Amino acid sequence: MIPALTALATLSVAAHAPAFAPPALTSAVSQDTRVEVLEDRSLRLALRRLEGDHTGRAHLMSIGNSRGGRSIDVLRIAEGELRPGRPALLLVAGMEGTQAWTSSLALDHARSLLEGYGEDDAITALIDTTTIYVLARANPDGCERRFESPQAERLASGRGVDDDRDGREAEDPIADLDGDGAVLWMRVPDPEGEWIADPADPRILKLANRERGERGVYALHREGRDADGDELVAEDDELNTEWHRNFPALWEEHAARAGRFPGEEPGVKAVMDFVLTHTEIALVVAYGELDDLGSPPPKLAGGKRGTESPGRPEADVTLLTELGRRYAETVKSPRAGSKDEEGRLQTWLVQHRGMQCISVHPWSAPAEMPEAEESAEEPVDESEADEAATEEVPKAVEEDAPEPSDDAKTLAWLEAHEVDAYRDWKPFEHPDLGPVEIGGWMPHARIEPPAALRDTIADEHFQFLLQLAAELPRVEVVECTARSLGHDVYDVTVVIENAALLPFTTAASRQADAPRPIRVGLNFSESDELLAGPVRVMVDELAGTGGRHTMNWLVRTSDPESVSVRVVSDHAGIVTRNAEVSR
Amino acid sequence: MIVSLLSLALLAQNPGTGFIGNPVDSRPQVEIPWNRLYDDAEIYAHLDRLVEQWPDMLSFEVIGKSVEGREMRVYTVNDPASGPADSKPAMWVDANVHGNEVQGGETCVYLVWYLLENHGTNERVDELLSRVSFYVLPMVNPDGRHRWFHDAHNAHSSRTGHQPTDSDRDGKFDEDPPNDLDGDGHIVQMRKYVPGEGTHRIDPDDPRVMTPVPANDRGEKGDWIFLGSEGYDDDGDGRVNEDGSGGYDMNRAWPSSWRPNHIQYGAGPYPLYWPETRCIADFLYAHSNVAAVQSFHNTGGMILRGPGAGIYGEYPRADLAVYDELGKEGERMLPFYSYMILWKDLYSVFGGFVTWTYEGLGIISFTNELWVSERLYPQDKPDPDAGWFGGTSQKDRLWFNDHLLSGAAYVEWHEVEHPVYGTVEVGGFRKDFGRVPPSFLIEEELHRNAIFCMRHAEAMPDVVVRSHEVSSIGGGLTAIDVTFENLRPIPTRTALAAQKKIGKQDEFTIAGDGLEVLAGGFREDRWHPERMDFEAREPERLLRERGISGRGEVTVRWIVKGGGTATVGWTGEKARAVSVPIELP
Repeated sequence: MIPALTALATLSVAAHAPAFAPPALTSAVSQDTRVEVLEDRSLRLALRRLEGDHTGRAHLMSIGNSRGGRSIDVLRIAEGELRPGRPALLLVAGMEGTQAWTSSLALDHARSLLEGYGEDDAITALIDTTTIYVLARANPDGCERRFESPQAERLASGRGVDDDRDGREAEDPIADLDGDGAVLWMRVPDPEGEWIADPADPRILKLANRERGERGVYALHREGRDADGDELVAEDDELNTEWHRNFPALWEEHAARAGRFPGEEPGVKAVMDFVLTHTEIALVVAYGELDDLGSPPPKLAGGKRGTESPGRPEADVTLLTELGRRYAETVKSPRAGSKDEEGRLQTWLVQHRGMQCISVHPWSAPAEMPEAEESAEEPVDESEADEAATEEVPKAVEEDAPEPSDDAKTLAWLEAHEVDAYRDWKPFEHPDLGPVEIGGWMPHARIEPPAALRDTIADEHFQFLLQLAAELPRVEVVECTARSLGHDVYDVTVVIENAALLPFTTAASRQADAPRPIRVGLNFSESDELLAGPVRVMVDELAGTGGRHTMNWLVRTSDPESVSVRVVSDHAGIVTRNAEVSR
Repeated sequence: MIVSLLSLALLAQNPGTGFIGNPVDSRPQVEIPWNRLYDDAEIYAHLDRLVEQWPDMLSFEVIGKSVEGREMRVYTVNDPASGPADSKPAMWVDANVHGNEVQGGETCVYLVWYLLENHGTNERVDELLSRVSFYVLPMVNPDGRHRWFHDAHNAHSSRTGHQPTDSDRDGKFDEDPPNDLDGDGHIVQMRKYVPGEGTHRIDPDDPRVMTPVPANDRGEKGDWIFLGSEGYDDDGDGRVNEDGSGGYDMNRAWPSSWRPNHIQYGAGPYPLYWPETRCIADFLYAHSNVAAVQSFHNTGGMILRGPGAGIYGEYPRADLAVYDELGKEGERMLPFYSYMILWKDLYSVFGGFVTWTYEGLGIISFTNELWVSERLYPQDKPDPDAGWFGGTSQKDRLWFNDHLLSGAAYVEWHEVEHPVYGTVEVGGFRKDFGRVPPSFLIEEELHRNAIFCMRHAEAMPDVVVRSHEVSSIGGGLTAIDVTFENLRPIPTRTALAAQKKIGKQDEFTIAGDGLEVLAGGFREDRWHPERMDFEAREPERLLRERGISGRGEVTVRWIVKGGGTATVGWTGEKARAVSVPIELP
């Protein structure tokens, strides 16, 4: 379905369109980066090559197919036997169709892990004890649209609906009308329009604020036709379901982007099934729009049974605040991402599956003016520096200058980094609307970091990932003693502890009942006798940073050192320990 | 045409008498004993016989497989003389999503049998089948049904499907089911004789009945303790029978107001997780002509509708009027049944089937809970304190067993050896007493509920062109006013479907060679033609989100230029299309 329609779209603009080109960057800027944005095939090839270069330690598995028939691949990195209880970390990227670049970030991490094995102690220890699943492109159909012609920011890759309810589907899609290879925006003079030019940068449009006496002069549409004459422009695109909105938690019934039911998209079901059959996953790190670290998530609201709300319980917010602090130490310029949790994979993992999941927003263009040094030349000595400083006063500081809108700041920042982020408004004769102007944000310019920054972003995030991986919960037996009470009777005490930062279960998971508890059982020979104590203990909660749980039994035995405790968990290890006798 | 001639030919060969309900001079063409319950294979076998007898009216397709590989079959009842099944509004009828709630399966078979037996000899049935079709899936949980029949169970167990599930989260699957200590096929109660140390006493009138020792300060003790359901702690974890086969509820798997397991027991990890549920959803999404839904359960004598959860809010009033009408009629057809609202009158259900078919698909839907114990003694005044489960006392039930079932529904208390408790006694009612009718009351229940389905199906929308008027409005222009009427109580689009924009809008069309349509719209006022909601863009195809209300009408006015024949029509998802030619001057 999708390839054929892409071909049709390409045909329709074949007369004017140049061959596809990635967002144009001026040639002066270095293109040299490890983190190129990759199409599905190239990504798969790169993953296969990693598997080949590190046979036995890297294994590429398909966990299912997307609606478009693309394989959803997980690269498993592990050294040593994959025994029950061996914890795993799942790194997910490429969830939203506009975030295709994050797949390359994940790929780069995979490469760093594999190349670091045997070279770096921390990486070696990690891969020896922990399984790392890299799901670099969770949504291959969505991400592949990043490479479709014309270029556009497309979030939808699943089932389409009749958006304007006129009984026809996809009759008014977005389109590249002026044949410049990208779907931009159209502004039309309109007394009922809601937009005005930003006085700080007249290319930028901002919403008129009636309360401040601002009257809108422009209507703004995405580039496209009003072929069906219903006065809506580009309102009925071909596809609607967004992969990252099709998960069951906070799922929006009757919203076109959320699909008809959670898991309707085969690619969503495949990822859910993968998570369900891998209970060894102790932590999910998800790269994309959602952001748990730039600022902490909201606190979960209460309510009647069945009321849904975004956010997390307070204890989990506290932990994420701490992780956000560590993130800001490692990642020099953290960027603020989104907080809307509706229908996302992460919301399902946290609220429904009770898993530890951290959403990381690796980059987006910041709404801040560029630093003065970035736009000025390097001053040679102090006096020149003073002159330079006074000459290069940023616009915002001038007293009469209007405060630039966020978009104006973002554009200034991007242009200072030589990103071709914005097209000037150019007149165009629109077949349905008459004279319009086409221009606006270049697709993905605000989403994909400039090439010059990518390697640093990759290095910083890799360091943070290693930090997180080192803090996966691990159950240890810190005491297993048999204290003699005389007459072959022993008071057996077992203390288990989790020394890692991350708790065995989150507070959210203790509301859910999904993750299995730690199961503790005492083993002794047939001639021994359990006089008092539970046959088996289920431990639901073991806090981080030294959380402990103590258990006692009374056992009659002639050989106390043969008494042993077995501590079983799905994702924090399995430990057996024999009792030490104390008198 | 060929198909209808064939059915006439068949009728001529084998007219049958029909089997409408008159006891004399009627002989069914297919005899099915309606005083028994049938396992999964037998249910399909009966339906296969019906397909063989009426191949032009009944067919089936396999829409999926259960967890254990049993076929999920949808049987389509359709009279081909009036068009294919998907050209008409269809009623979906299913049953037995809970494996122990079996008699809905027989109800489905009875409904299909009754329609086919009486087609060709009964006007009401013929009229119904000329307008509507049925999609019938008799067993949503064939694995559960099969195990309820063939394994040791009680009236309440094997509700679940049978995908191995770690219910107690100990890493093992289905390791601690109930145990049939005496191998008699029934899981009953256990008690132990502990003279002077017990919590219960034997009733002096009936040794089967145990009464608790009253709580007072006299220090009394009984001689017996109850030990729960027959079974022992298979996995040695200190809990008994806590992880049986399966352990989930497929009627909590549907996408509307779905919540996970810790909020709604049995819901599973995501909606439509189990294959039985997914294939049904796929079928319903692919058949937008379904305009009525019934899903049979047991027990309690209820005609249930949503909302399933109080937090959903109220259903739109226009739709509640339809529900109320059908619900009240159902109460009349089904003695001791009550028309009830799930969350309010019963309990909260998140992710239920009929709440999804209404809230998600916009279809008027009921769940009937079959069998209510008041039917044992219909002459008794109902106990106002009975609660929703029915209020027949244990003594009354035992009297019924002794006198009307010759004592055979009760497993008399007898000794067995228990691995931990030593000598115990087991006894109690058989699994086929309490939630299913005794044999001689089955057919009545099947008939009454099948008739309720027919009544619900009859209520599905039926659109006709009631009248049309052509008038000149000067300037060579003509106004064509057409009144479309929906003869039935269910609207062509429910208020909920209109609200949530589910499915397609109704289309009102006009076409004709040499006809120029300037404008069209829906008239709001009989006396003032200018009061209308008009469209000048593409007026030859008018769309209406609200459709035509139940027993309501819509008048369309088109302003046209030209002459000849104008064909006006209506199409929608939930009723047969209609069109009428109008001669213009």
